[in-house]
Amino acid sequence: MPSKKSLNNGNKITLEIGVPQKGNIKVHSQIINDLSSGIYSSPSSCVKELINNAYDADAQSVVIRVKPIEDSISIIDDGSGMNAVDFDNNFAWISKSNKRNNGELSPKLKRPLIGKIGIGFIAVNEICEELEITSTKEGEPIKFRVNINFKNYYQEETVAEDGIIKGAYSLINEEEDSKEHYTIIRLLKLKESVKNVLDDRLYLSEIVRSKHKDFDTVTFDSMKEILDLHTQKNLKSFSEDNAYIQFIIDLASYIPVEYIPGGPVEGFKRKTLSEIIKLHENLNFKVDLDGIYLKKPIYFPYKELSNVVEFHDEVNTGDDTIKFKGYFYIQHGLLVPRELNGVAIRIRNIPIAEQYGFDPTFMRYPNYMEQLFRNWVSGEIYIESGLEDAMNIDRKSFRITHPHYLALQSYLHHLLKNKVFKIAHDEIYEVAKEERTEEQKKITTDKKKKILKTKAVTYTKKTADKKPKVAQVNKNEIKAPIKILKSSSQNTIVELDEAEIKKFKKKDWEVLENVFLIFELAYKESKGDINSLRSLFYHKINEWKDIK
Amino acid sequence: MTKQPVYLHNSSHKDFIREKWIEFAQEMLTAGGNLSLITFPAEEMQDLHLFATKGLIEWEQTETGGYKIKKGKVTCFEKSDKIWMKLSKKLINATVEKEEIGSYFQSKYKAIMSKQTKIFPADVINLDYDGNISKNKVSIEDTIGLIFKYQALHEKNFSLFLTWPQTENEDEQSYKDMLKQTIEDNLDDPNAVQFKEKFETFFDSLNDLNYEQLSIIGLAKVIIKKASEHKFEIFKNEFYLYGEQNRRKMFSILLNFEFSKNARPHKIYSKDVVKSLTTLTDLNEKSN
Repeated sequence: MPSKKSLNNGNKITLEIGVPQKGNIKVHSQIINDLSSGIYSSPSSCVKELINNAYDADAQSVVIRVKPIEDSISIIDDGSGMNAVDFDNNFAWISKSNKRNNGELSPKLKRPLIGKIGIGFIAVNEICEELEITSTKEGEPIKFRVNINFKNYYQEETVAEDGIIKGAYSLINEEEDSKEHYTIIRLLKLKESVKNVLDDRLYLSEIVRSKHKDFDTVTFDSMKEILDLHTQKNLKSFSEDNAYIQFIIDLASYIPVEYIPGGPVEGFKRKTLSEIIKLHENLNFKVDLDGIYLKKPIYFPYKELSNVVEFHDEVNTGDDTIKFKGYFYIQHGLLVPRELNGVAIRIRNIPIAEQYGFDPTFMRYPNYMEQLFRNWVSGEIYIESGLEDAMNIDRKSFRITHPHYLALQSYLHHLLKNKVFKIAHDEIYEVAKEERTEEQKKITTDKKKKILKTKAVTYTKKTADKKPKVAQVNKNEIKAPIKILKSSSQNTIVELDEAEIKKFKKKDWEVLENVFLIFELAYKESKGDINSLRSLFYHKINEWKDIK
Repeated sequence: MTKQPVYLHNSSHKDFIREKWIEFAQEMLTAGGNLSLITFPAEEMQDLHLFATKGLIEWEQTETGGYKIKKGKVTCFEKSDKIWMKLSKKLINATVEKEEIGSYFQSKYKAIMSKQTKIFPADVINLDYDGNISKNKVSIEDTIGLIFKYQALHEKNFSLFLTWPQTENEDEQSYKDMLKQTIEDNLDDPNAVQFKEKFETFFDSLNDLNYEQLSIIGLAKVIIKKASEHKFEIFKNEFYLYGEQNRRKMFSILLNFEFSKNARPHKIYSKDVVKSLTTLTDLNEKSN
């Protein structure tokens, strides 16, 4: 057990004038207390801490059960387990965890450890009143069962000599087969607000239009199905879906699991992308949440106008080197879901950012620059070494003045400016522009064919009028910008007077051209009868509206 | 640790009893075809497989290799950590509680009574014990009492199956006394005259009952007493003794109950109590 030391009451600074005094800046456990309460307020942020603990304990399979009752959450892992003493050392003293005492890698599978000070564990008291842990270690013929009560400590802060008490536990050791190794964690008596997030019965009943709300079941069979449904429903943001689905996606964003098949970027077989995908497959870490495997919810289906920029690089700052690799995906048009727009910086595979892990500011890339293209981009940076010291204790943000942060920021901004946004402009925007023009032309021609009820429309320029004699000039003569010279079901010839057309704004002309064509047609068919002209004109205008 | 004799879950007798569960449970299917079931499925989940095969519940295999309940509501109880883990992995969208059913019902009393949990009401409650029921933390008498109380809250008809092994040598004395006392009380109960008359046609005194008779009559009476207190009438019942040669003897009681809102408890009791003496079918004799 770590040594205990009483904290004194400050640095004994006095108000005496002119006497030099010395003091220390100290971290009192109150700070840890405040931090742990504020950081982990959502169910997903609490549960991901427990999953990542299982990962650190070399688990290969984690099973989470929430449905259908939603008044408890059970988490079972096949990791190395612990005994009662390990539990007390690592989890009963928040911020004094010994997790990294034996190195930076997990003992068996040599995974880079995610947890550091054990602060994540206390997160659970934010979502449940009671916690039950049962665990056993391979080679030891005992297991322990501990029941932790948080509820009694919600109201009043109980300050002990060496910290603040957040819960009280009762523990018992029992016999167990020495071959077994597992940990079972059960979050009991979930708070109402958490139950509301997990209970999507109403939402499901709306989907299946069922009258039997008590019997409606989870309708998704895989993470891919959830994302496909978003595409079908044309959702622009994860936040447009119900709270339970958001919980699943958020949870999957912060744990070291594989990508959705085809993800992160479909259709690009590049070296670094393949390495990143393989890296996750090799972790052999599966998390089963109510029958679906959680997978990184990053999946950009193949788009013709898109590209990928990869990098595997390092930057130096003083004596330190930051090594990293990653990619940026660039597509034509707004990137959806919006939460994936930005950059996810992953330390030990876990993204350091609020909700879903992406930093939409691209490490504070100047707001006024590339306002269009920054909406088309999503990227991930896997940190291989360095940067960890720049991370704040909440694991959701960085100290932006830290040299490591500044070095990476500089690299990233340079990459964005000189490569990513350049590709967005030169290879996507410009190509799209030509295509857009072509597409627009085709649409316009098709509309005209429909208006004129002909298979082809041929344009001819109006030849310049012979200069009339002064006496013949009629100031009231109306010059038509457009005239139908010949019309048939096979081909219609339209004469354009470019000089007249130029009198109209280009934007207006697209509409006016059609109106003029309709008028010309109506005029021809009416054979000069004004009533017939009116009726034919409006009839054709209405037809045109349908075509539009 | 004393090793308990292992009871094999696969036998023709057990299969017969399982088929009987289906027969009784089918009568409880609601109009929507959904069945709410509370059970102890053990590792093999044979009862659930049968319920699924017969269409009383529907499930489908998931990408994780489990079974996801698609139709029906399933609640399971399992005390052993190892089996609980296996069941939790296998069953999706089912509730798997790691507690003795009686303790669970007691600890959740407030929540269940205020209808804050989703377990009750149930259509079928299958108490399929394979261990000694006299050693339960919460007595079988209290557990059954709570079941009727919770079902009565929803005024819900249901099937109750109770299966347990003959463990005379290991049974707690207090349990044995409870069985005897229950029958004795009935013999003196003016509401149970019919029971007394029928009892006396078979036996001269309480001491004439062998342990099988004592167990099955005693527990059936406990159930009927609790049922009548909460206005549940029996409309279908069968009692079995089984266990092939060299295997442990087992008891099985199958009862279908109907909630009778306007009935008087003592009337139900005096009518139903005699059913505890309905012929006990010994599957060994039947097969001979």
